[in-house]
Amino acid sequence: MPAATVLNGTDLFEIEQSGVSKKLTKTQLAALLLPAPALFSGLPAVTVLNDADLFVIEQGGVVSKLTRLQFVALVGTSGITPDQTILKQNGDVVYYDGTNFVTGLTPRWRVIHQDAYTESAVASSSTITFAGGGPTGGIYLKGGQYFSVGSPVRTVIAGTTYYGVCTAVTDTLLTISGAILPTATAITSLSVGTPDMVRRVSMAFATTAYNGSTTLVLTKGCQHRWHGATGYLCSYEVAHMNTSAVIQVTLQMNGGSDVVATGVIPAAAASSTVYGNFTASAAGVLIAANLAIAHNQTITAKTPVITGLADYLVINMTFVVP
Amino acid sequence: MGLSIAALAAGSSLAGADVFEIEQPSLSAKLTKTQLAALLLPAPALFSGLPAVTVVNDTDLLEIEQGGVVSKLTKTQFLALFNPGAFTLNQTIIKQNGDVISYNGSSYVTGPTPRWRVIPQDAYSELSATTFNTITFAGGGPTGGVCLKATDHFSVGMPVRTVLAATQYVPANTYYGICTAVTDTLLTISGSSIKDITPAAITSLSVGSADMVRHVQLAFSTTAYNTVEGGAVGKGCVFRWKGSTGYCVCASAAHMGVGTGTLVRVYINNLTLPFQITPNVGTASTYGTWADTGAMSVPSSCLITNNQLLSVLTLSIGAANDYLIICMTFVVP
Repeated sequence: MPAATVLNGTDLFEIEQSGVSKKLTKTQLAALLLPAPALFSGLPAVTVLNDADLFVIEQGGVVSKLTRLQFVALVGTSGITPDQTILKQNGDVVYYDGTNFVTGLTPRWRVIHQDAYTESAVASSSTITFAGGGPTGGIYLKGGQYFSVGSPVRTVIAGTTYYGVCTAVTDTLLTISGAILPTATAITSLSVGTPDMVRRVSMAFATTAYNGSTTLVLTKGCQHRWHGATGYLCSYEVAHMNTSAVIQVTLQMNGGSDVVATGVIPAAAASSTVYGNFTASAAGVLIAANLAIAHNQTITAKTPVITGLADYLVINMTFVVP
Repeated sequence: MGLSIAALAAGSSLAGADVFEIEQPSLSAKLTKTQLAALLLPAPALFSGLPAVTVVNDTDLLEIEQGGVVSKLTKTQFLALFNPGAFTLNQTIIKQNGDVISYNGSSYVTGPTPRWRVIPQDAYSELSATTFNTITFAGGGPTGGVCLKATDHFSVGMPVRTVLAATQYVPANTYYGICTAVTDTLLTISGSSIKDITPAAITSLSVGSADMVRHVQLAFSTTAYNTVEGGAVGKGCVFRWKGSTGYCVCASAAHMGVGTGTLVRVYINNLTLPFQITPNVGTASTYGTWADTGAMSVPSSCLITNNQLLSVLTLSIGAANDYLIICMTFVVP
């Protein structure tokens, strides 16, 4: 047979189909033998990716392979892409705001994952229950994995924010000194702050017989001018010299209502020449509405019960400044 | 064969068993469509047989199916698909355990948590400060990603660092204070004056972190602290500073007693005058209202360093005053 030279689309090939000899154009035959390249969509879907899986890459005109490990390193799938809706500034840090990584001032509160604690209600007016146990789904479940004694605590319940300081913590229970927490109401959010939020203020009555009136504020060293950001009283403790064991000491923020319903009683001392032990406000006794102190406001103290002998009162206060 | 193929009927769809004619040496033979396809279309080559990539270049090509068309994609295009805003850490200084990622104005770097955040200059008026203790902001919504309200950057109590193009009290051009009030368009600062003798433009404005604020209280523990003109006030009115240098930014004083005109000065190491203040008159049994340092009454030279002393003197005395209290606030940058 003569050899074909240039093939045309209408050239014919012979084909036997079901015992019958038939013709086939060159175009038909080409379509048969050289289909269009297969689309990826026709391939089976990958369900699990392995480090040794291979991608194809053309490099310098050479078709080459690329492992998944190389590929991941290339595209940086675990990298951080900050939301730059607000432009970054000198001194910004990168942090997670609950939705995105963003740049900005170092965040002051870390929000505790809601799976870690009992959201439905606090355990008491000063405690919150944690799940405890090992991490589940990447979430730490122990109270001690978020808090330590002295950590500032911010609890939001029904639209109100309550500040306190952690005074004890176990795997399953966080104990807070601070504003009375409402019970039987769901916790909206729980957060841990930074040590710089804790501010301590001391006042001292500079002479004998501070217990002269049940209504007047104490004088002679017992007031303080607050400067700066608003603070929230979380606890106070008192000590005095002399033998009274019934005098109550309470505080007022900027002349407001007393911070407690019943004042804290300094422990009796052995005599007029030594101090008794410090007595601290109990957990869950500070009235949330009376605890805030703002710039240039004054802290004062009062003795609603004055029986007995008592001198040189010392008051140490702890605030959270969020 | 001698037969005109054109005279044959047209083939329909091809089946694997359809037979083609093939000439092999001295023999006309048949070949099924399946055999022919296997012959002409070998299985695709496995990637494992390809050479391994060692360095990936921007112009390297990846294969992609786009709208049913197999297409190519450069490495650069490919990266843009995945992490368009991802940053690259400047590792000139190697990261250490405990480092955070921050932006230093030109690069993301690792290191200790930054203490000052520089406010974008588009947000405030950089011109000469015309008041002693305020800076004007543009206000309004963010423009070009820049927050323009003073309240976007400051709240009451936050440390403020202002660098001027000229100095008033000290060799450095840096003035510290705390925010005492803030609106969308005005930042009010208590601290060293930011108004120069010769008005000077603001070179930079920064906000600090809350841990920079430190408070010190002095209290005179008995009656009649003002007995000697120019004399040192004892009995509780001394304090030894420890740690990093602090800058006094505001102070308040109150006393008991009916004396008027008693002027109190706080000294550092008995040498430097931080500020002076006149407490308001009280009664024999109550405190007068607090007297605060004014907007410009704390000079920028009011700094105290490790192991220096704060002490108090009475500049004028008058009738007796008792139980002086002085509350001071410092910024420790």
